[in-house]
Amino acid sequence: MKKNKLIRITGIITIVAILILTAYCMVNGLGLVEGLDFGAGAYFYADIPEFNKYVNGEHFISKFPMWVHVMLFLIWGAIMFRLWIWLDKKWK
Amino acid sequence: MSTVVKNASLANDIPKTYAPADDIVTVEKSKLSDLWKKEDWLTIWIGAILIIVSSIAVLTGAFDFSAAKFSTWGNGTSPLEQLATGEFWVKLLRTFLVTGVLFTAGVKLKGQKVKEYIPAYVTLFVLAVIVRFISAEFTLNRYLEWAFWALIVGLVVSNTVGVPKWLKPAVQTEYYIKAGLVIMGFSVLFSNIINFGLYGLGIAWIVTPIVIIFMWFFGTRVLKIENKSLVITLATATSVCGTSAAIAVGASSKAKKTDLSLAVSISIIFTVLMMVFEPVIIKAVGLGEVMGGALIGGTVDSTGAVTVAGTALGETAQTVAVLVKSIQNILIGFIAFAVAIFFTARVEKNTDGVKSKPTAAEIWYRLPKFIIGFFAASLIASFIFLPAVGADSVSAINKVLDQYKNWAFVLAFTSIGLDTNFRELKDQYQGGKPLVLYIVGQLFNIVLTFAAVYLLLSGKFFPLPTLVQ
Repeated sequence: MKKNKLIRITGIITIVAILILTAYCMVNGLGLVEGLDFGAGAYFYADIPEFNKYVNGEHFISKFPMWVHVMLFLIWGAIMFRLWIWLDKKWK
Repeated sequence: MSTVVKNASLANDIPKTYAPADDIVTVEKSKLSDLWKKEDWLTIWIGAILIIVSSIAVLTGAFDFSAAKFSTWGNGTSPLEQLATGEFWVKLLRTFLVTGVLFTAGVKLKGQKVKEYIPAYVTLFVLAVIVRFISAEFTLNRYLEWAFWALIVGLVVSNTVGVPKWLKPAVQTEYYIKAGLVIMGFSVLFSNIINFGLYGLGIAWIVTPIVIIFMWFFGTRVLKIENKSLVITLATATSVCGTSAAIAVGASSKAKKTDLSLAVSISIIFTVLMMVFEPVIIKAVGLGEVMGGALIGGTVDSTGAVTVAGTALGETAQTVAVLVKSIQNILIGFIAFAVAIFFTARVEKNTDGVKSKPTAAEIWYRLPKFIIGFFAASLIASFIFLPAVGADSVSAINKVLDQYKNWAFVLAFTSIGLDTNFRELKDQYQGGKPLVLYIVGQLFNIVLTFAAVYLLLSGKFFPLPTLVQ
């Protein structure tokens, strides 16, 4: 009973501390970059000016064709999905 | 099969007006008429109409279809400045009419009463305008997403003056979420997969599913959280890209509104802290711009925060961070799809107590159909529009669509707030288990991403990538 109460109190203190720290960062403008009129809440094209300049494919030229990337993507995804199901069955 | 029939008949027996108040996605057996009567399909058509009209507007330049957006105010800029321009009001009126007409048409086709929906929608839209106005304030705009303020405004209304009965017909969270997700699909370009080659794929794609699986077992088996939808929603918000991933997976795992609120709130708060402190720590340990940028791209939850945190390290770090994040963003649809299949095959089956493996037909019946719309939009944008009209035009179309998506999600999160009381949120706390899950999962994510970044980008195992600024 005492242990549960202690865990609950620790949890509440953690939450309050996180909220205070977040508020402190906001009030003092920590982490902001001058010249960027957006922040954590910005979404791709709507809020980040010229978002396309980051993803226009001109920053890096891959040595491998697109299909290699797609195949690796799908193979790894399939392996992980199988693993998830296998572990879920195994670890009851 | 029996499960589906049993569920379907149960659904058919209940009155049309009934819908579990706290679900964001519900399911029934499929019929041909679903294409024009069921919400999942209707949201696909709503998304498709918006994509088609936006594309015509941008590609022909014949008319302006852009939705309203509040400019940043505060810090020396008067909030009234933008309100004094005619252009702003024209855009706001257009946003109201476009979303209002489409959602009302959908409501009519769903068999609900238009006469009751319209006044309720007008009020909900006014609340959404207030949310977007608040979240455009200088400081709030830089730290907390509008999703957070939408929840707060909704919660304040519902827990103080209360939600009047006449407003309830417009409080349809899943309707707005599904429509927003279909629109979002167009901005998730699969072609971004090649933008940082195998380096990006290795960092974004090797780590993400491992973190999700780790958090799933840590949440369900170690912490013994019974609410599995909450666990998976929180896991994907942590490992993929925060709010967007939480919305997509929350919908595909049929999470409750409070699950989504909690996952999004935790993710938003921690994103602020990671955006502020991660670049500081990376600089302190001297990780360098390429490795530091990749670590930020792989671990910080939202794209906006990734861009800011990357920029704090330098121009190269900014580019690498956004490249890695843009690959992670591709995962949203695939992971939402995988989660929908997993929940259909493993979670719901167990809940119903049926031991037989679900057939493909059963999986199809139960699969949230809006995911098809999301995928279709993403594939059409990536493999038809991009080669045909070029990256600049697709970007211009997405600039228009992203605003409509934002409005749909603001309507959804305001609806969640309106439909939630503080007691429900307190119940979700469960002795702090979701918070422990997030913190442990995020630490695991950081460690694993760092290992991948070190392996691929330290230059000790593989050649360093050549980047062009």
